[in-house]
Amino acid sequence: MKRLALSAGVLWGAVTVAFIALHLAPGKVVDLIIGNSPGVTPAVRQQIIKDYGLDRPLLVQYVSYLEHVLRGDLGHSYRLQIPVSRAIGDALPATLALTFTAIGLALIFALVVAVLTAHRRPWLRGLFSTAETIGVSIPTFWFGILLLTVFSFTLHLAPAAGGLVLPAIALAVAPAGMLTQVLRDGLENALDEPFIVTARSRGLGDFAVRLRHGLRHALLPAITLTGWLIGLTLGSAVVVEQVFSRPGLGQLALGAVTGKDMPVVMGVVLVVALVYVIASTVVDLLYRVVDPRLRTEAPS
Amino acid sequence: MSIPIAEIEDLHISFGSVSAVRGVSLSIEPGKCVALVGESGSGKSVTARTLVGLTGAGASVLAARVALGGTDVTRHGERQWRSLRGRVAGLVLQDALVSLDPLRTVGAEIAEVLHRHRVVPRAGIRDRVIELLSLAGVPEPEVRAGQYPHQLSGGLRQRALIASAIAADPPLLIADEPTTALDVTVQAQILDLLAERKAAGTGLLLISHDLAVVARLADHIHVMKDGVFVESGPAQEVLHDPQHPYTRSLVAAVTSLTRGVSRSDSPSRAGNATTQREVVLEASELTKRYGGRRAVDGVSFTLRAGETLGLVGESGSGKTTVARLVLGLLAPDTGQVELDGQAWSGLAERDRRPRRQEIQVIHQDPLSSFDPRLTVRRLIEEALPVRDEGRVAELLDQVGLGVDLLGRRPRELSGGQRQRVAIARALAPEPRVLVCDEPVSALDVSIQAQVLDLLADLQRELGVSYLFISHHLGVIHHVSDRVLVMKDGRVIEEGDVHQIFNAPQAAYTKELLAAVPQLEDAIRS
Amino acid sequence: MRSLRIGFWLGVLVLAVLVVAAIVPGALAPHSPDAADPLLTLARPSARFLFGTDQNGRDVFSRVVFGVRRSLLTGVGASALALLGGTVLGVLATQGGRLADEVVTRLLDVQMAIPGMTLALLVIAVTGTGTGSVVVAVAVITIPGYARIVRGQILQIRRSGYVEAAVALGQRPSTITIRHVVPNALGPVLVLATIGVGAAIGAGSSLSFLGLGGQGGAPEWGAMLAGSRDYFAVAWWAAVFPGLAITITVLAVTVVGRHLQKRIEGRQ
Repeated sequence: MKRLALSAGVLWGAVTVAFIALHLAPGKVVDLIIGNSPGVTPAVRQQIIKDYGLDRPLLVQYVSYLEHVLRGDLGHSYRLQIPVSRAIGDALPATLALTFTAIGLALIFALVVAVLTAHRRPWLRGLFSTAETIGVSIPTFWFGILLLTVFSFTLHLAPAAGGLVLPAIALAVAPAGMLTQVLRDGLENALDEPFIVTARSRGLGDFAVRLRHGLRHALLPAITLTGWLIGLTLGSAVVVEQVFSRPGLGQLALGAVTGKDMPVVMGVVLVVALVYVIASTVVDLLYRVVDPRLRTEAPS
Repeated sequence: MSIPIAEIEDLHISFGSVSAVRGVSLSIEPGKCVALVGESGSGKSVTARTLVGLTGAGASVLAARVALGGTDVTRHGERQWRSLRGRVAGLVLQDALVSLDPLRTVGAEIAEVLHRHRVVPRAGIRDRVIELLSLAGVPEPEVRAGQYPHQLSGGLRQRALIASAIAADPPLLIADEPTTALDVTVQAQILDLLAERKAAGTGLLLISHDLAVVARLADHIHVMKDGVFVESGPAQEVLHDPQHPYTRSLVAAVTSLTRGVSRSDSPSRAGNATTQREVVLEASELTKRYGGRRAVDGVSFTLRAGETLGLVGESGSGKTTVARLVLGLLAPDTGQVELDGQAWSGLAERDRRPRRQEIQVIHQDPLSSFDPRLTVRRLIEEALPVRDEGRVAELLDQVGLGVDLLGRRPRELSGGQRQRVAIARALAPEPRVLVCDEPVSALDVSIQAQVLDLLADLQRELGVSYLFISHHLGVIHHVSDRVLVMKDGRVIEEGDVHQIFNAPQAAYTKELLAAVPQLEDAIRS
Repeated sequence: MRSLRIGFWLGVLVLAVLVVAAIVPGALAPHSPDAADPLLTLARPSARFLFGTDQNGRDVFSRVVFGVRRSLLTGVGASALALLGGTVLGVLATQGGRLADEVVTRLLDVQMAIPGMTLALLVIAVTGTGTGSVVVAVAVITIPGYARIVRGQILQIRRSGYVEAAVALGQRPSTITIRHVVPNALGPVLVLATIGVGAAIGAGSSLSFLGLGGQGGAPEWGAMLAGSRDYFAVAWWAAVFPGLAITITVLAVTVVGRHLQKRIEGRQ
């Protein structure tokens, strides 16, 4: 219940931030709403001012904006000549597919590498640890360009535009690096705990100890990180979509920022916040499933 | 004489270039208990763990012979070890809260052994788990099997851990400090449980720093120091007639901390002259709630100049909360504290601040009470009203430390040195009252005795009063003039130290005293 | 442990070279960054053009060298701004009472929900494109990290045994803050800022790559990559070297920062 109220609070905050951004931007609000779209007649302009109530006090405008958002009405893109909700609805699936594929790849990589390298020979661990640091440091867009150059232009193995695999790999690199580090740290901490000695004293093998006892402990911080990474990756999709000429939320947002199409920018912000809130709720539930200490009481 | 179930001959263990164990030998027979006694870092744990092939990463182990059940396991590889662990030898570690996987039910932990060694058919595992829990003395085993370690009390957890160690009915049980984390009454129950296993024919290897615990169970004792057995022999002989100076010092330290020797027995303190002295600290009807629970419930006492008031109780009895109330770090819900006959607990912090030097504190863990960036010199200087290089040196000298430590940071000191620095800092503002909150609980026995002696000397020299808090009855008996026994936030009994220890009135006090492992009893029997 | 130290000194070396390049780029670059030779467009790397030339016939190596200053300034500027903002928020949350803490915490929650690039785009939608906007955008998206650690550090130190010891010694709150809280909190925060410079350089170059860093031909790594976008297939060098420069810079800062972090953790 408290969790739900917090989520609603976060969404309300995001709506407020978007509204403040609209009014903070230089220039007349009406021009920001119209955007860089040609052929808007003065009559249409007057109509917009009336529709949005731009002649009324700020507070009234704010309440009216909240009301519209609650009804699922995110405004109209005059640049694209369609409602914002439709523009986002068209772009979102492609970006979600890209984001979740990337997070999935990152999770699989991190799990495998962390389980195989935690507390193993220093050179092996060092090798992967260095690779992860490089992975976190490489700019996503540049790694995309490299992939494109090698696999599309040189080896002709993948399409230069539109495909899912290469962009997802490019997008997965940084999250994979972070997740592997957190998972391995968690696993190594867990493997140093006394209960691991107890487990081994029962005759369990190293691998069984890692999977049955260590991994669950390592998952706890990784789950939290994943929730945050989903939102982050959704945002980073913009650069990857640009590199791979892939339509999606990022392309839509970028076009809106350069074309001063504020309703679309605000809409994208709200949708990203919504996805984040859903993801973090799921993460919270998962956390409680993995950690019984949050579900059950200690003896009094 | 039966065949030993475990034998070690001429064992050497080293970590890199550091040698941890040098040439130790032991042998354990069925139904017998062999004890390894020593302080932290003596090598007793690694020695025991070689018997399950878990010496640890980076350890190189050399032995003339290591045998389990008559089979030489010296050249065993990891795979062969795995089939032995749990089946031939079970391991019980210190605190079940961390020695059982906190994310799994205790039932699953016990079942793991049964699965691994196919002790019973799959369908019978659940029944066997419940049987094992009740064997280990866990009430309502059906319910407990489905619970997580954090849902069980310390004693039940430890029983569950023992249940998992004996699940595959191993002839050898290794118990590494199995009662150290427990309250004294629970400690006695767990020792009884281990005695039951011994009576049932299990060979027991008991590792402990506490000679009194060992005395209760051991048939044969090895005293370990710096990686070698300095003395070995039948328990009676080692305890009764120790030969090696180190063993003697251990026995002396323990006997002085258990029944028999109280500091106030010494002639200079006889006569209870303290009752005529002025009152420096008075607590009346102190109450403090946390959530719905009364952590402290109507506690009153007085502390007179130059005397030591012992405050004894098990974990959760509210003794540390009393310390914080007395120090003015926590405000009581009701009741009040007076210092030197003047209001103290009711003051605003601004008014209390100038008088704070009158009451100081030392903790169980001095490390966390030191700013990690500061040197010993700065730490003590901070506590002085005016900067005075000579006074810093004088204080260090008083607590038996040299000025060569002035430039060290807290992490670069040993446990005993840290506590001495903490005492020097606490004495720097010349307080009238020193609150000692479990000041020796984290220290090795021989260091404990030194720190307690130091505190006694300082009291004689400076006339400072101690409010001395401890869970350890022996320590309380040793240092106190008068004693308060606390349980669940209340004072159960109060009185002169002789009266409390020789003629306790309250049932709880009697129970506490009966549970203390007694070296003398073991020797006499 | 030894390989870590080698990494640290390599990182320091790289940073030293970068600082030289930022101060006197002319000393390292053989050509002017803007000298375009229309006859030598997209020339392969050679002795004359170490990293080849771009679509306008400009020397990629010289442009990479002259781009150092902009990248470092973006990273350091954004981090300094974020550090300032984060410290103000963190101190406000811990000193301003329960309400202030609640407001700041919720604010940070909202920011978490609009992470990274999305928030940067919103900021730039408000401020317009340009180098200054990029710096502000990168600062805004990194502020919460600093605010959280400042808040966390202060709370942790306040609860610590040594602050309690100082209280028991009768030290005044102001003395405790100056002597114990600030010095102990400073280390971890500054180290985070060091690592943050690397992340800020990466984020800044991403925004430039998207064409949000302002127009004009001034050499900037992200913008160079954007400019060479259409030629990746034929001129790999125009894409590889500026990106390599970003990666190595970020890597060097990160490695040095983490080394400092480990040292501070080891001390505490």
